[in-house]
Order: sequence, then structure tokens, then C-alpha cells
Amino acid sequence: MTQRLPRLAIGAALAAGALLAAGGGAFAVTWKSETVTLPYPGPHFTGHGAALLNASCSTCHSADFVNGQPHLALGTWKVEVLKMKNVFHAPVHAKDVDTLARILFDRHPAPK
Amino acid sequence: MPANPGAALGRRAILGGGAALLVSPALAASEVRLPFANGLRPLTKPGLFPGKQQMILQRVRAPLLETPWDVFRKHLFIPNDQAYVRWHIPDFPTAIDVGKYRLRIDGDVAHPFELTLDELAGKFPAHKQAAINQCSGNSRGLIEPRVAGAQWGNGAMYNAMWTGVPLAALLDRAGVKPGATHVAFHNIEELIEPIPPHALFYKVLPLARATDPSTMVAYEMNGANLPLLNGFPIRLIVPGWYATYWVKMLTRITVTTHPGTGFWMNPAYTIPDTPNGAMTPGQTGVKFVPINAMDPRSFFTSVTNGAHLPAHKPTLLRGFAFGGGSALAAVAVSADNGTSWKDAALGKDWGPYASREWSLSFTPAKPGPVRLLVRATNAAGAVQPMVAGWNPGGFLYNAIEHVDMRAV
Repeated sequence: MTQRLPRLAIGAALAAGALLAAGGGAFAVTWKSETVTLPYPGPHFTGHGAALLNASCSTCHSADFVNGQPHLALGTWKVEVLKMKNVFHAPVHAKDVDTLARILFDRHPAPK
Repeated sequence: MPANPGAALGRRAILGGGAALLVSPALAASEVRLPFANGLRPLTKPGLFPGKQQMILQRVRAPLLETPWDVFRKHLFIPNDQAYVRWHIPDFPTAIDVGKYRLRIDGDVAHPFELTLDELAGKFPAHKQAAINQCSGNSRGLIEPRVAGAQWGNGAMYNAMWTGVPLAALLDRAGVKPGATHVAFHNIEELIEPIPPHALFYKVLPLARATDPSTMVAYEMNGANLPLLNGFPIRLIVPGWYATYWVKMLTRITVTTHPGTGFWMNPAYTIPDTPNGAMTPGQTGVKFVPINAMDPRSFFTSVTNGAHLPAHKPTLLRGFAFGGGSALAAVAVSADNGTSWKDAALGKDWGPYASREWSLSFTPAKPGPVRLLVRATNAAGAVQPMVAGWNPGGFLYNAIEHVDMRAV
């Protein structure tokens, strides 16, 4: 499925141009059903606030994305937590919104 | 102005000192440091993700995989198994039955219809075109002040040769009714608990953009089936526009009279309705509109930070560039921090929406530090800026790239 097509092969097969008729009509495609395996679930949170973070966030995504975020303002973290709660219905209790934002802020200190 | 990430591999960068990336040895073969704070990322073992070689691991679930910069140094057309991957929600199928797959065209049309994959490829004219797919947030990690979101380096893009059916041919067969203004694109995703219906992914194009001759439903990428993670079996191709519109696993095309109400059209993926989509952090009263055409960009591939060049002798510089929403018009290189520019020679023209190689002979006048800048201009007159405009989504990044070397 992931055959590599060298650039030279593309160059030999096609003239330059934005939009090219490929054989002037119907195209012979080899369709083959696909089944893949993904390395889920991926990492969970560890360390400061991990229990609350895992309970609130891990239903929908792994922790690596959050851990790779930069230092952000406390208010920015709160906006992100509220987006997850209000748009995506993350299992976040209203009473935990500020706590979660504070945990995330503390886990991402300013670069030294 | 960021350093060329091509040199990021061997360079010491500042770490945020925050939470460590926690990825087991089963996932990661090694690591790469992207050129921004908290930029340490695992490199996947080849094959960890289906149909993918070694990738920069931004997130396991839902997958966010970045193309390592070395791939761009070797290929103008990015191999399918190294093309970046971006999913918002892990609600896409891991199995596709090509016999049961259908594409439906409906809405404000005279004759709604449904196609099997064989009918799509067999009953409509096939077209090929080269086009670069670039994430709206490509290079977000380089934006200052930093913003939340996928912290990409420059590797959330890939140039490919696409084969498929022009969308206009499908809409012609359906017969778009007078008064229609937009076309909505739905995919196979079905939401997982607890995510509610208003967060279901779909995108909407203005009718004129949907019927542009370049917009098409693609079933091949670089002469092969699409990798599942890149949208197998079919995805929308919107050359010149950011990849958020290039809907993967496309299942339904609905002609409408509305720009859409879904989260993924607004507020997600919107930009300030200002010149270059720029604003200042905290600015109020800014009108936001859906992101649309791409800006020009250019990159070095033959040289990286820390390289030594022979003084008084010519070195052939090489790289690639693209025009974005219109064709690439010019690429220029500066050796004096942007005071003067010298036009590069452009390589083979693969069409207005594709990446194009550039080259230029450069002779350092004397031994010592050399900083080179590269800048692209497109046919509409857009020129890369020295500093990227800022917006809260971290979109549209296209600052001039530079590389720091030494003439010896």
C-alpha cells in the first residue's frame, strides 16, 4: 500500500502541468480492503495531578500531546479545559476546571 | 525568525523543563529536538503506525505524526509512508471494506446519487495533479508568543502527485440547483463517547472553490492507494488551500446554501479577517473568518545550521518552495539579513499548487559567519515576511527561514 514512487518515475510518466488527463478516461484502480492496528492507547499522565488529568482527558486522547505543549498563561489553560468540557463533553466537573488549569499551568513552567 | 529545522537534530535547544514526554521504549526508537522550548519528541519505530516509516511522534491517540526534516532534503514528492498524519479524534475506522464503501452526493441538487469506489474511478475522467498538502497549523511551535495546539516543526506538509476525479464532474452529474452557495464535506468518522454531535468533523467550501478545476476527489497518492492514516480510500483535494479542507475518508458531499455551523468551521480553524491574518495577543473586536488559501513558503534543503562552506568558492544552494494560493513566482536568497536579494533559478514546474525546487550558486566573500535567508513570492504578489503574523490559532506561519553557517 505504501509503495514508494521515485520522483524520476513520476517525471518520466508525466509531462509538467497543473492538471493532466490520466489516460483520457476511466482509471484502473486496484482496491483492496484495509485493516490496520494502531498503538493505542498511548501514554497516560504521570506525576503532578495525574489522577485528575487521566480521569478528565484520557477518554479522548493520549497524554503526549498535552505534555508537549509550551508554557502558557493560566487563563489560556483554562480556555483549553473549558473547550474540552463544553465542546467535547470531556468528563470534567465544574468544580475541577480551575484545579485542572492550575495543574496544567504548573506542569509547564516558563523556559529557564 | 526560526532556524532551519533541518539543523535541529544536532542542535542544543532550550527545554521547557516541564513534564517529561512519557513514551515507552516500545514506541520510540530515538528522539529529535524540534527548535523550540519543550521541543523534545520521540521518533517512532518504523511500522509502529500502519503504513508509516520513522515519524516524529506528536501524539499516539489520535495520531499526530510529523515528517522528519531529512525527508524533505531527499524528496520533492514525499513518499506515502513518510507523509505527515493529523487526526483530531480517534473515531475513524481501522478497517475499510472497499466493497461496501460509498460516496454520496446530495443536498441542493437535482439528482442525488451514490457511487461505489469502482464507479467513482470507472465512470468519471481521471486527472492527475501535483499539490502540496499543508496543515493549517504547520510550524505552530515556531510562533511567538507560543499558542496551544499541535506543536509542529516544519514537517506538517507533503507534496504529492494526486489522481482522482474533479469535484466539478461529480457536481455536474448531480445538477447543482440555482441558489446553492456552499458544499459540505462529511467523512466516515462516527463520534466516540462522550463527544456530542456538534463536534462531528465536517468542512464547508464556497461553491466557487468547490467547482474550481483543481478541486478533486483523490484515490491515489504518488501512484498508490492512500495510506489509511492519510484518508484511504478517498479524500478531498483542495490545492492551494490548507489541509483542513482536504477531508479524509470522504463519504458524503452535500450542496447547501449555508457556510456551516459545525465546530470545525467556526470557531475552530478561523483566522483574523485582517491583512495576513495577523493580530496582537489580547486584541479585542477582531472579526474571524474560516482559514482559506495558503501563503508562500520556501526552505533550504542542501545546507543546515552549522555547515562549513568554502570561502571564495561557489557552493550550489538548493531548496524547495511553493506559492500557496497562487503559483510560485520567485525565490530569492539574501546573505545580508534581507538588505539585498538574489533571485534563485527555479526547477521543473509541477503546476501552480506543487512544491518546486530552486537553486542558486553562492560564493562567500570572506571567511567567517554566514547567515542566509530564503524568501518566496507568489503570483498574487504575496511575499514571505521576516516575522510571521500572530493569531491565537497559530495558523498561517510562513516567516522567512534562515540557516547559520561558517565560511572557512
